[in-house]
Amino acid sequence: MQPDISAPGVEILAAYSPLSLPSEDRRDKRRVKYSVLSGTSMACPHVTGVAAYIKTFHPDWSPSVIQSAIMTTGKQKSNFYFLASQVTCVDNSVLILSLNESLQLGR
Amino acid sequence: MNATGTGAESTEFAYGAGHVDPIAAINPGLVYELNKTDHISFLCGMNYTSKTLKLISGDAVICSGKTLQRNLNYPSMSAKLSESNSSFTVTFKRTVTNLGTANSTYKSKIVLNHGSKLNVKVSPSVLSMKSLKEKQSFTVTVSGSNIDPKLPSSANLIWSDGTHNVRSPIVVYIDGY
Repeated sequence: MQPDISAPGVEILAAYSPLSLPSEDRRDKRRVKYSVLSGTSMACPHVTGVAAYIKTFHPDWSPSVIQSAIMTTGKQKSNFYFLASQVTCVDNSVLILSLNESLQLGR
Repeated sequence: MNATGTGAESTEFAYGAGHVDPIAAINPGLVYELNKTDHISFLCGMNYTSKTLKLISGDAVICSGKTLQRNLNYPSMSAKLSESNSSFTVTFKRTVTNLGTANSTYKSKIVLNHGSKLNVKVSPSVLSMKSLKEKQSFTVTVSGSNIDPKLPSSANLIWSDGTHNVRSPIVVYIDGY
């Protein structure tokens, strides 16, 4: 549910499957365990990490309280450029948080 | 602020409430809390049936009345308007829980974003919290006329006790912008 939050999502060092090609080129014979990726799928784990970090300080806080803490303290930036269009990390992060909500409704 | 991908003007629907700040998030002061009943009322307001509600909640639910979606106790506020060429007034109801310090007074402040012509009122405009976990409710009334049909209009509500700044984006937009 938007608006919610932004997190880094451009050119993120990420785990990668050696079973997958590292580039679009079918002739590419390289196989890698790590790659640099962008998108909401890269921003999402950052938000998950923040949620887990808060939980270590406040084990009794419910998912909705943690989400509120993340959102109301979000910093406005004049330059979101380096975050690029992953600002739509919004939708992924909320997916994670709402998954928590549905698993732990009312807790 | 522009989005890198499209070059288009970026809005709260892209960057949300801002960039995550883990250190600040440990000590938010006030929080907007939601429980199971809040979620169910929200889904009832979206015309979920008893069957789908049972699949989600695990309970047999009978919806009592309709809760407006914008009154879900969420840390941001947004409302879709049907027409741009008329004046409008929308109200948001919220409840905050004090997780900062006992005996704290929070004052509300409205900061309009660039180009915004919104008129925003908060009632009450000051919240005095005596104890931790205390809850207090308020309403935010947003009014205006002839807003930009192509871009959302926005403002920020900031509750501040001098130490904590609890900020919520407020966004109104025209259907199909």
